[in-house]
Amino acid sequence: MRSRSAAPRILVGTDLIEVASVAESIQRFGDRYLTRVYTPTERRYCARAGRDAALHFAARFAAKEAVMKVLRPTPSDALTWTSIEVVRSADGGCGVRLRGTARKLALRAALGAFAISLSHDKRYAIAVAVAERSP
Amino acid sequence: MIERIRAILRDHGRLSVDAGLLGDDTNLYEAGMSSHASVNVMLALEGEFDVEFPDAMFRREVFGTMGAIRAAIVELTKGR
Repeated sequence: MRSRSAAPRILVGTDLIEVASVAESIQRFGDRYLTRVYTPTERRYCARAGRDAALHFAARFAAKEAVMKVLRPTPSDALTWTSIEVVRSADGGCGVRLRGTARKLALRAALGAFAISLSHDKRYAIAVAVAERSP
Repeated sequence: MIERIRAILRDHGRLSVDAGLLGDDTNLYEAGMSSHASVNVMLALEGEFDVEFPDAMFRREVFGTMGAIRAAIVELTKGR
């Protein structure tokens, strides 16, 4: 059997978060929390959910964390939460837009476009991010 | 300063260990602090010390230990 490289070509990240912890952060820190973590587009989208906004913010936080797990920054890489943006695609699903250091890390790792999946119930939000590394 | 940092970690860090047992070099992530909790810790530190962490300090190592946090705050308050 021919030996294969140990480095996988498909990279996966996942994250689970309690919706209540996000709701608590919004309550405690308000706009300071929202503007440091979420882009204006994300804030507009989530705000449309009214009282359920925390569900959508939590799902987006999980997505950002899932993407970070794929990007694997070193402890010295400065990576802002807003450099990873969850965007709505035309088919109703979600995609990811990377900026700044997040984009540089993806290029450094030769990663193609990310696929993400988000889900939530009243207590938890979860996200999975997948990206393929160029050979 | 370190006791003010410890109090913030107790209130916002969601640690799985008693904040009173943390040493300056204890790894806070290994002590149970999640990424989301680190955001809360950062925002609480900004309020407590009247500073703002710039984007360049959004690094895991900056919030990795009490000693690293103290060094960051010293840097941000230099010259006051």
